[in-house]
Amino acid sequence: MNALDPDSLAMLMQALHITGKGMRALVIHNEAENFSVGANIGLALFAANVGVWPTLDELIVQGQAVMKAVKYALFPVVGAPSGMALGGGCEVLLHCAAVQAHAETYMGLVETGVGIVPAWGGCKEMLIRHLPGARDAKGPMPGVMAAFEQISMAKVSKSAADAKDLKYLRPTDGITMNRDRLLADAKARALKMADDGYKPPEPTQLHLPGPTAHAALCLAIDSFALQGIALPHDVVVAKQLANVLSGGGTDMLDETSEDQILGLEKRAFMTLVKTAPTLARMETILATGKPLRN
Amino acid sequence: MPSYKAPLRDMQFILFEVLKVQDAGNSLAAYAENTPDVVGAVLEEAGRFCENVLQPLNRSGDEEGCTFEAGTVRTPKGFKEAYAKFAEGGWTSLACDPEYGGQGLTTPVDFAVDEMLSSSNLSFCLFPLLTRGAYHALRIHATDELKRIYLPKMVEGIWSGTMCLTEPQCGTDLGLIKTRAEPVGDGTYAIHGTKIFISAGEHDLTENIVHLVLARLPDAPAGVRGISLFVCPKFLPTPDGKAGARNALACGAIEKKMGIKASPTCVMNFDGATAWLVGAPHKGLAAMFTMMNAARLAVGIQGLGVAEAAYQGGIAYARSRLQMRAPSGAKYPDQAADPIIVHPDIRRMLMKMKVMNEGCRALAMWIGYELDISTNHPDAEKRQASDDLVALMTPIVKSMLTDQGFNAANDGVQIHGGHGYIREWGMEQLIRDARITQIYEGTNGIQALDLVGRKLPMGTGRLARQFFHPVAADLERMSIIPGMLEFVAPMAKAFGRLQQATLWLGKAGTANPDDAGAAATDYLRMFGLVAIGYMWARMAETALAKPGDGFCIAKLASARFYMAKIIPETGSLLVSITAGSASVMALSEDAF
Repeated sequence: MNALDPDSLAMLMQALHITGKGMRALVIHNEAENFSVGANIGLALFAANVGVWPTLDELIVQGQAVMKAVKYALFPVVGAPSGMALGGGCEVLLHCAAVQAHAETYMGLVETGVGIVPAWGGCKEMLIRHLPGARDAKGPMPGVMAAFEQISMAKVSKSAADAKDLKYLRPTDGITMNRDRLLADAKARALKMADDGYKPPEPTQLHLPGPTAHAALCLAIDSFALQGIALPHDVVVAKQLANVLSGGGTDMLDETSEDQILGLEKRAFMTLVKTAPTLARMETILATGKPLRN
Repeated sequence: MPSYKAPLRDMQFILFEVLKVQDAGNSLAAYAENTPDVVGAVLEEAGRFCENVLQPLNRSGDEEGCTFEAGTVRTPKGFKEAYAKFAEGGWTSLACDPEYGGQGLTTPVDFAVDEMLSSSNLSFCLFPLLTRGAYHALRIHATDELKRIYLPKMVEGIWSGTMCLTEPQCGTDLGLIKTRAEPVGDGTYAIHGTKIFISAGEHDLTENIVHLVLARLPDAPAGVRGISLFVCPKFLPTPDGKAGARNALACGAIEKKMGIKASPTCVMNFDGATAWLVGAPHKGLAAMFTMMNAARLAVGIQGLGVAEAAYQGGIAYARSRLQMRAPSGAKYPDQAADPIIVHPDIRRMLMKMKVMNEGCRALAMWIGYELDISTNHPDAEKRQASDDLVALMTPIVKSMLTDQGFNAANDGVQIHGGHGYIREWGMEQLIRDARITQIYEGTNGIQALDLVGRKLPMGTGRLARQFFHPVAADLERMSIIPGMLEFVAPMAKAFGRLQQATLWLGKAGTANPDDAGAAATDYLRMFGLVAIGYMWARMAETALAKPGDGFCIAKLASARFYMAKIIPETGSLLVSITAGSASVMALSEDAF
């Protein structure tokens, strides 16, 4: 399942350091059935039950640092997923310079199912992916709404092609039909990017709508609750997510940095992980493999 | 010969001032009736009974022991009369269900009385304790008909109970049980087999003895999943509920042993004895385990009882024994020498006994209170939360309190010097008596494995949450109370160490089971010290609110001692725990 824990994050960071010492590109791939099902919830749940909040805080800080290092590496980092790439696994791919995905790749930010929000940059990256394009409606709300709908409903792509529709993958990302060719294709793509004079992206400054959007999203959440679509803890989680995606206390005219959104993600995660219903969701998924609706 | 005074003030302080159990009356019916006045009267009367009836029999019972002749066991002189008074006084029915003639007292009050019994006469205490264990198992798992026959007699104390688990080839590993139960065809079973180490398996105190026996049915699967529970009385009950014909079981011998000599430890032979199934077939172990929390907590209380007796013996001797002068100069210049209580090393032992005893008492009463919530609270979530906490803390209470029983008895002997080693002062008996409590009802090593291997991983730490979250919140709350920082600061440090050790076990223990096994006993002690420290913080908070009260002034001094001298041990325990198992497992077996 390749669950991510502090050791695997440290390994990824080390790989970035090693690559930086004279290698041209890095491909993140594994040969198991699934790319990664996300963070090691068992470890997080145990730490939360014991009340070791600094450890959880450090886990978020470490994860965010690794994801930033992936995104802003001076060389191209190419993700090569197959099977499930969920939660933290999906967040790794969202930060890659490019992805060469196997056709049967199931991507999604499923954190809300266990009562938390994506906090390794997943919310931030989806806001960036949903920035309006030339043909989209303008203004800050449509992108926030789209990211909110996608993350709050824990939408998982049915294929790599579907992942493009959901913007987990970019239009420029590649799809490989033959799983045995995946690593070779990813390597070729990474080397080509290096040959083409790869330059890391510039940090994005976002204009987010702030409290007004938060209020609007909360109204929608309350309406879902009244209709019986959202359960009590869905409401709590969704409102935290709404706060992150609307930019917290920011104003539409102000610039919101990526780091500010990461701070909001961490705060929302730490708030939710201290609640009993979130811990119950985590315990249930670990014990039964099925989500708890509470 | 030591004297004994029940620590009534401390018991009531914990119950009504620290735990404030009287506030639970709205949600727990029994607590509404257990008012401070009622409980005070019960405890006072129990104290008198223990001081005047049971304690005087402690040494004579130890010296005479039980005698075995032709299948019958005779208890030491005076025990039969004392037991008759005990039953007549209603002490067998204290915490039992009123439906069967019980008085419905709460578990913490029951613990307080059990502690007094254990302090005054541990051997005697075992008879009612075993009966209560069997009573609980029958009450939860037996049919209404069986309950109707057995429970009122057991509650009244005229029939006693046993728990027949151990066999020559199996103790901790009950999956190896060989005793057979063959269906007779009329709804009864014939039990064949031998059980050993059966406390109160045969004696002359009651009209009948009700054995709860673990045995295998003919079609039973191997291992612990194939064990069933049976009720098998010494005398078969007649239709009108009296003890009738003798059943085909007999005591084959009683053990010669280190302590609790007035409690017969029997070899029981079942030769086709008539028995009735209790609960579902093959679910006997689960049935036994439903009362295991209560039984293990009760053994912890035994340890505490011995510790209290040792403390009282130690303090009396330290006050009266005159030897040398205090290091800082004579304190009693008009006497030939100072009493040894002035010496720091004697005080170190006395203070350690005192603060550990009082802390253990508070911890046990808190968990006893939670046990009542776990079974009787109307809110299912509260029941579950308390059940989780009790399950987590049971091995800790059992081990910490029984270790304290032995350690305090050891210090009691040390304070007495050579006089502690001879019989006259009663200290050496306490060591011998206390030792078994660390062994039976699951050795303390098994308790540590239960904590680390079962309770911590359960629900990925869900049980642990019921301790860590409320204690963290409570320490934070206390930290801003004027005067509390000196107690909260060392506690917070120890609590942090416990969190660190727990997380380490969660990671390293999963990767290497030897690491968990090697750390288990140290971890349990660390957890116990933090839990007791938490109780001391709560006691200090209560005592701070009564500045002029001498009892509370002593409490604060004791709390300071605990924080200065006891809780720092958690630091060395953390180092030992996180050192892992490499040094423990390195030596090859043939190098020992």
